[in-house]
Amino acid sequence: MSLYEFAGELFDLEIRSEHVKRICRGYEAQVYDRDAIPLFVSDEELAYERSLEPLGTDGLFEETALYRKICRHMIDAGGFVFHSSALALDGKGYLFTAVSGTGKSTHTRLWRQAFGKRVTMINDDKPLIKKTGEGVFRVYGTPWCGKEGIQNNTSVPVAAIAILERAERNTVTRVTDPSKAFPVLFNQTYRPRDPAAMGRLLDLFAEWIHATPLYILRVNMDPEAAYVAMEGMKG
Amino acid sequence: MKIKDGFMLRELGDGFIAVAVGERAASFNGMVKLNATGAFIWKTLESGCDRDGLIRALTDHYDIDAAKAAEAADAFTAQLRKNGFLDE
Repeated sequence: MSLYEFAGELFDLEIRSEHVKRICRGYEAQVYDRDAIPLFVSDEELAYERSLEPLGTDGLFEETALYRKICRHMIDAGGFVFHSSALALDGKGYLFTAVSGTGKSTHTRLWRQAFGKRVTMINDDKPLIKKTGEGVFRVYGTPWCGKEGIQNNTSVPVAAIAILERAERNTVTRVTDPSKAFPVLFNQTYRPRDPAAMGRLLDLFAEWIHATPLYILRVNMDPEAAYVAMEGMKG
Repeated sequence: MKIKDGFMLRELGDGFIAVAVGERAASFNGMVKLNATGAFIWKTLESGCDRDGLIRALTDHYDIDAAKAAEAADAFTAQLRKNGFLDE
């Protein structure tokens, strides 16, 4: 048995590659009080990933395929992945999402430079979100965190979600109608094909974005961007 | 005409959204945003009906005349057809 815990859920993983064993270090389960969900990546699933991205390695294919399966199981546990750079400031979670290449990671780096030890990175690319109470959602670190490997095995309540856009001047706008932002945000999660799971995910996701303050951050790459963003979002 | 199989419609706050599930998700990766009228037409077309049936459903549900209902029905079904969501 190789037990790992992601977002408070226990998994028994049959890992094939050294690469995936290495990235999952630090997520070995500390408690054994529940049944673990057994998961492994089959030859067929590996081949499917290879067909999408022929230039990768088997380790990377396993990394992607395994997370896809974990994220599918998370939905049953009230959780989902949210493609974003996530950090904690003073113990509160801020999630920054954007289309690829906008500079999510660059922006959260500015927060680390501006606020120093007050900031803990949760996950720079694919954190998990899980409902832990009525209208309460937490963001969790995971090993799936982008090229730089920036993540911590920790969790904090989500305080705000920010949609990042590049601009000349730094401004923060509160989104008052979350349903308008739904398509943009829902694109940042893994969507299951199984209709029952899709239904659960839609309900969960809608609850999340209605319970969480949403902002559009129009920012440049100057240090000032972090201060303007933080002031605008601290509520 | 009928909405193709493999779509799921959900109400979200003051709007509606349709996403693809099952095999449909392989060919359609996007989302369809709908207002209340669009969602009503979508739901009516999920079980399938002809143009007259749709116009009747609209005049029954909304306080509008047949001409206005026909305009709404034609505009919306043209959009659905263009995006490949309809089986004729």
